[in-house]
Amino acid sequence: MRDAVLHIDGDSFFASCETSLNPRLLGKPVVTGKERGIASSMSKEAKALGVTRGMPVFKIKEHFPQVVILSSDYSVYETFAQRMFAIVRRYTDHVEEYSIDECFALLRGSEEEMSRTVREIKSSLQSELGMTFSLGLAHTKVLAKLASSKNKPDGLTILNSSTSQVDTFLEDVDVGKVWGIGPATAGELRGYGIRTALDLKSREERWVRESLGKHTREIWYELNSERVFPIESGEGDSPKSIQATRTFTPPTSSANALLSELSKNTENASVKMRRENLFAKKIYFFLKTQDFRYKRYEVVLDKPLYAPSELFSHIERAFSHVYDPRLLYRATGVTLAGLTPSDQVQEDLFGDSTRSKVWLDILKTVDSIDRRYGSHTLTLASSMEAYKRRGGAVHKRLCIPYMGEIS
Amino acid sequence: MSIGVDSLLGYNIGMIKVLGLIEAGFPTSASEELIDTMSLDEFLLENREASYLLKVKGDSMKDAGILEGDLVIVERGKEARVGDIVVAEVDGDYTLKYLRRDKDGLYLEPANDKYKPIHPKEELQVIAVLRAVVRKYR
Repeated sequence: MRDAVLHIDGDSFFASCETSLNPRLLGKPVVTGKERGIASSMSKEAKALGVTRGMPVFKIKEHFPQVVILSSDYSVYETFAQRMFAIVRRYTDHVEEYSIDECFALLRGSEEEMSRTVREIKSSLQSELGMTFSLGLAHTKVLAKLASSKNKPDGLTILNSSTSQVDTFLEDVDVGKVWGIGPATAGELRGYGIRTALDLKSREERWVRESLGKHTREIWYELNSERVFPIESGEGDSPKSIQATRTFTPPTSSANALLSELSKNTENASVKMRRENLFAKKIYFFLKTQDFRYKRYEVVLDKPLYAPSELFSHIERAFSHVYDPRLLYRATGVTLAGLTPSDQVQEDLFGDSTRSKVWLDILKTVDSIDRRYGSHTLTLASSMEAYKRRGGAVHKRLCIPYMGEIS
Repeated sequence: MSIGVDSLLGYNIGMIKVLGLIEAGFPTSASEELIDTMSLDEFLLENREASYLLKVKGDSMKDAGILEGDLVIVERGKEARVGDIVVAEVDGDYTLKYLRRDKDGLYLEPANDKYKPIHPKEELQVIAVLRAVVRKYR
């Protein structure tokens, strides 16, 4: 094994951030989510009592009066998350910030070196952030995610490349616990007599190709130590994807405002793409909710595109799939992927649409104007609202958490 | 030289010009002494990810030059040495004291004769090590 995927998961993350800053909470059952009326995170002591995620606060008060119930402080959690990612980046550039309390990282080296690195990362995270983390190292994302969930909390599980060790591990894992397999798929797999992750892994490739959908097939490869899901770190020599995101304040649930932000994201990503003379075959976009959930969507294009207006029209059409007017959103982002150099894009692409060709000239002019008069001199009308909105008030600089008074 | 405390909280801090050295009671003309710019963050924080702020209450560390109302920056994950000023956990609270050792082991010592040393009943839990003290005037 020359490289491996590390998955890191903050244990009871929100509750742990609170405890890290307030020693009086140490060893106590702590629950966050008071402001929403349901538990969003539970300390291990609260879990031991029987408090579960989503449990209504009034019920917790009724049944477990000893529980400390706190309002969520997302800016503190975000600070801890940024610290977690920064600490992992000391060891590798290839870090994918998967969610507020989770990340993937790609490590390189001998098994011995990687195992030492994993232990160092765990120890730095825990001593510097004052909470525990569960880590899993394996050959693929799916295996690493299973490994980190193995001995939660404070777990460390390394699956080396030997088949027998992986098999023994997968034998005890219910197939429904595998990352990416939802209840419906799990039910379907049980119908085939597949109960454990090992049952799925051991199926013949031919049967898998004939019987399973694309996504479950990809998971089968990952269980068999064949990497399908890449670490999306945005690092690398030639970009495989280009991303533009922005966090704005205050959060909004307005569809117009969000579309305008996405339009601006698209323009920003498209500028970077044009600099490299690339076309995109895929668009990913996301809305990030006030409580840090990501709603993602993927659009596969029939033909490679580069013009922001054309790219954005696809996002506009798919927007309703991710947008929920009842939620507040704090950030949007657009990733352009499947990037292809323009000289590899076939000529006949322009055959059906002279508009695309016209855009080449228009954008050349736009870029030269922006170079002369500063970026965003000329923008899409659909981005206007985003330029007007106050925002960008979120600084790159890391904040220092305040731990209260000391005597 | 006055230091904005807000900046230490991570907002609004920019690059701050270094105006040369200032001897106590002997202000020098700073304008010609423009050396360079520096960021207060960088100056005060050695390991940003491990740094935390606390506000000082009481006068138990006054002889160490740490007064009520001061902001202290402490660093977690750093091995404490005897003689360091540390944040330690005592009965579910954090306290800022000198880390000392005698024949019975580690204990905490205030920097004020009014207070007694704290000998832990169990193992002493050192949480963090003091890295900087910030005091704002006016």
